[in-house]
Amino acid sequence: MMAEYGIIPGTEPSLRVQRLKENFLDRAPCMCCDRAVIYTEVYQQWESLPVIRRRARALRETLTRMPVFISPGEIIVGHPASKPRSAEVFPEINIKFMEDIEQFETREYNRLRVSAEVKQTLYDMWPYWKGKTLTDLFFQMRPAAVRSGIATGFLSNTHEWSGFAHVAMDYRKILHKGIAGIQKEIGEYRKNLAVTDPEFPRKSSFYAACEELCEGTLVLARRYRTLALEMAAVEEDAGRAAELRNLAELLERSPLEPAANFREAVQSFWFMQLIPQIESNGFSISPGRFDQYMWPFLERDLSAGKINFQEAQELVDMLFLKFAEIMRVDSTGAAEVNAGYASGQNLVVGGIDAAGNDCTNPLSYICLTANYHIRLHQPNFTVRLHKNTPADFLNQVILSISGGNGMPQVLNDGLIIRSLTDHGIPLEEAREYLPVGCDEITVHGMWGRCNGGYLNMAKALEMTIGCGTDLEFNKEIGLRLDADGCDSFEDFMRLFEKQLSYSVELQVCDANLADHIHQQIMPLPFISLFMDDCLQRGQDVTGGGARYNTTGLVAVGAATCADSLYAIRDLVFENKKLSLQEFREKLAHNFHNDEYLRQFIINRLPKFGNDVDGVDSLAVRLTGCFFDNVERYKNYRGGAFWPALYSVSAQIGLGNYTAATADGRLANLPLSDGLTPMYGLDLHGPTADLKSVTKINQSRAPNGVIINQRLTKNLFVTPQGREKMAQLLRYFVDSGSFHWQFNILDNQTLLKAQKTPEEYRSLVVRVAGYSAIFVELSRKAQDSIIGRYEGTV
Amino acid sequence: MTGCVFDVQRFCVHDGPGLRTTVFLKGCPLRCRWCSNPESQNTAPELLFNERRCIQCGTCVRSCPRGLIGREGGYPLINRNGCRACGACVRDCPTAALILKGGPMTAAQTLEQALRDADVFASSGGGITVSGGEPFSQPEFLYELLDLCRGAGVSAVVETSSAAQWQDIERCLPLLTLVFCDVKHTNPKILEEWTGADVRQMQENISGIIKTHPHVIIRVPVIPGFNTGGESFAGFADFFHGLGITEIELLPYHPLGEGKYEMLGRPCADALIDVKQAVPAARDFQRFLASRGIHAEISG
Repeated sequence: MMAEYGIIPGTEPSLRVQRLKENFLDRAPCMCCDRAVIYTEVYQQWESLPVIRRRARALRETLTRMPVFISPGEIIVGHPASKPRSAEVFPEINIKFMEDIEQFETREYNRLRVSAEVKQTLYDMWPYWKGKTLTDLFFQMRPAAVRSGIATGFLSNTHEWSGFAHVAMDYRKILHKGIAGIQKEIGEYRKNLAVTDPEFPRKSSFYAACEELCEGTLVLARRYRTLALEMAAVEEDAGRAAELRNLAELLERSPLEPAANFREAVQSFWFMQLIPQIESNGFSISPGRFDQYMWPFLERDLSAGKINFQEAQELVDMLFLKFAEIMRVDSTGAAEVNAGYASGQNLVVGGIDAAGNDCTNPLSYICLTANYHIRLHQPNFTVRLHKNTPADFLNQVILSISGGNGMPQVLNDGLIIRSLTDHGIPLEEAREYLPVGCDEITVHGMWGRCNGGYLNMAKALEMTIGCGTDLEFNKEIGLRLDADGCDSFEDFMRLFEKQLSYSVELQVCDANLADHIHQQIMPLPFISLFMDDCLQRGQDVTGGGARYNTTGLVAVGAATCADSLYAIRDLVFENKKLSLQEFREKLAHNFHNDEYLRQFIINRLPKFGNDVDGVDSLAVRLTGCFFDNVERYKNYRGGAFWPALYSVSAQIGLGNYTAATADGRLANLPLSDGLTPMYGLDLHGPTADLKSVTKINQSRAPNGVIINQRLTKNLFVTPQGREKMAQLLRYFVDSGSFHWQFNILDNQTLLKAQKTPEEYRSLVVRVAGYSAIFVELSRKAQDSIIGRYEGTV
Repeated sequence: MTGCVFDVQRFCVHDGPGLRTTVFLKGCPLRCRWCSNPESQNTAPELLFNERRCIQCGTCVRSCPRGLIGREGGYPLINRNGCRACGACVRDCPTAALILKGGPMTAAQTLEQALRDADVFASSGGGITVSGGEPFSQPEFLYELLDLCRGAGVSAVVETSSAAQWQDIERCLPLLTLVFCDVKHTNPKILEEWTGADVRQMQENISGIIKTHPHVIIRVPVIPGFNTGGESFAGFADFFHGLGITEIELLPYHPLGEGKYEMLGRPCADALIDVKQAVPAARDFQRFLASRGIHAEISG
């Protein structure tokens, strides 16, 4: 049985899938503006409608009018834009990107082709949106302290450029009820809503918006049905024509009715994955436990002989390709954080069920094979591991990783479930946790707002050293505290903790502002349809309609700070080799003419990630301080702030604003990545890495922790190597670490890819929290990946 | 007691079952021309200089208390004859271009360091592997370390060239879960010429180990020009048959140790070995052994 759906090393997907992948890679990413044109029209025409209904109408109109197409060979339909591999524009969120639209084709990150026609259309609509967007409201409302914090890279990115998302909707709803069932449910709620209910105006608008979107969804399905029939009529290949007719037949039921079989379930799933991408440009709309909610449909079809494993595999392979089509227009700043066309759609397999039993099933294996077959940057693919993960499944996980796209990443059920129950989630719900985006942890019914901004801890340290003044821009943005007067390292550490606490205050302020603004102008009725308890409460997610309302707050640069604090303690306070003022001067001057000192710090002082308590304990202390401060606050929707230690690729952007650091890092270079030790400075292998990172109480960071690990290829290519790798993953589970992801490419490959990018266009690497196509990254991002390989034999 | 240890390396995956930490002891009676760890040969600590890391700051020139470091084109020029490996230059070197290989450690300290991964051993079925050099060249230290491992309930493995006194080997065997034994050649003259080893001592020790210990893995380094070719292969096969050995491992030569000779200020002895032939020769050997009923895995 296993042999039917396991990975066979070196095998390729079906010819159809190979061709679809080729077609995808052949296309340069483009920009479309059909959605923007329709949204602009609807916004102009319906200014009197409540914003939630205006947005629902605009989305319905887009689903009704945006051009649709079915690509050759496709049997799962639905695209996020009116052309293949294209990104639509969201003018109501941000139109400021127009200021640098002329650079889109040549900029470092996430290049996009823009035709003259599209450009002209956008120039025409620009004046209408100027001053009305989400981004504009941020600029109006942000306090000065936060503004200067953002301008100097102290804080960043609280979704002033994009929608929120970072959500796992309840896909079971569309599969088991269909749109018809959901319409009925809305009808019931509407019927029971008394006109005297004090919240009647808000609730009735919400239900009206929901109804409009159910209709819009059905219109879209009907349009694809019509198109499939038209194409079938002129199709010369009889086989393809039959396929298109079958598709049309399927679209009569899907997604209107509950899914009757696996194919219908896949199509309904895809509509549900697609439409919220058009509703807002929020990141990380995540399919969650796909193997769990889809398996009953596949199981039924398999035992009835309606589908075989090869067919199921091909279908899932094609679905994995569909995830890669989702992309968006990023402003230059956002593109830096989301380098590599990231879209954060996290699909997770394996793990335990609500009762605590292993729930790996054949579809979990099929997904591992799909990842091995497709090897692109999306979906973000995750495996949940636990003590009873079956041995042959673990071996398949390793084979899937060996495909070379840096996925799947692994999560540790034991630690994460404990973390969630510690934070008030009931055990059974916690066991069904699902990662969204990179590995932000949510449960069903949670509007996690997982990205409440990235806080630059290295900058907090920079301002401690600078007595409140930033060393890169020479601006006073922190608290004015006299570090020069410190007699002991302990005194200095207390000042750092105050600066860190202050930075959390600013980040909390901006995160709440983000909630406020999004609630006002960016309600999300489509997502709310699939999020408990929005329908029941008649409230959309941005208004706090979900059952759980958290906000993630992310700290960047833990290892950079721990290593820097160690150097300060050693050189300034213990061995008194130089004073703090002297050190400050050296950092402000980027170690100019001080290569001896810089090299000495890098090579001769211990670094986080080597299981050395002296420096690891500083990482424990500073992350503990971050956790304490974050836990103090409540968010705009009445929920908790949840800490996180990851950086996606923000360590590059924030590093760019950060002066030289006391760990010997030069100004403007990347900071450490997530909770990962500084690249190239962890010299004792993965077990020592795990020892260091597990000294930190990672269960206090339920919003997510990211740790990347470079491993040599020999652990993946031979059965003996894979046996060791399995042992390492078992130890990871025992160790109580949160997350682990592997990059197994060697430097030689990457250098070759830099020289001849055209030969490596499908080479996918891990960039700090997600995977990206290597040759499409900026030179700087490429170099930072290569840097992490250095320092090892 | 105190031994001379030159590395304690975590996450070793080629040195026995599970995930292991390998302790490298300094000192080896052999001088194999292909040796990839030349810094392991002498029993005393040694100074290594890596020119590629050097930023030519000249600090070491001032650091040396005996005035043995001069300069040549910016780089340090070390007079190794008088060097006592005191480590003063190493402490001041900012880039770790100068490093000291080997230092005194007690058996208890060595164990303590290795046991930082104790839970890794427990989780993976791993433990400690003692390698070298030739671990039996520090017999008292080795015995104490292995005895401590047994006391701590940790699996211990040894990698030996079997160039050692039998009584030293014999008393350690009950403390080991597995023994790796190198067999380099069976021709006395060639073996002597390339390694300095005594074929009789090696054969007697291996025979003794196999008779005494249930878990022994025989490894053959495949060195083009030394132990490749029909005659050499046949010698191995006869030897293995004589001892009833049916499974072995082959380790094709790799040149990764080349740079270290330069770092030690010594001429590189293996310059004439043809690297490209190593893997093909290993495959030839594997086929040959198969024809004689011996299964060989190529690893490394």
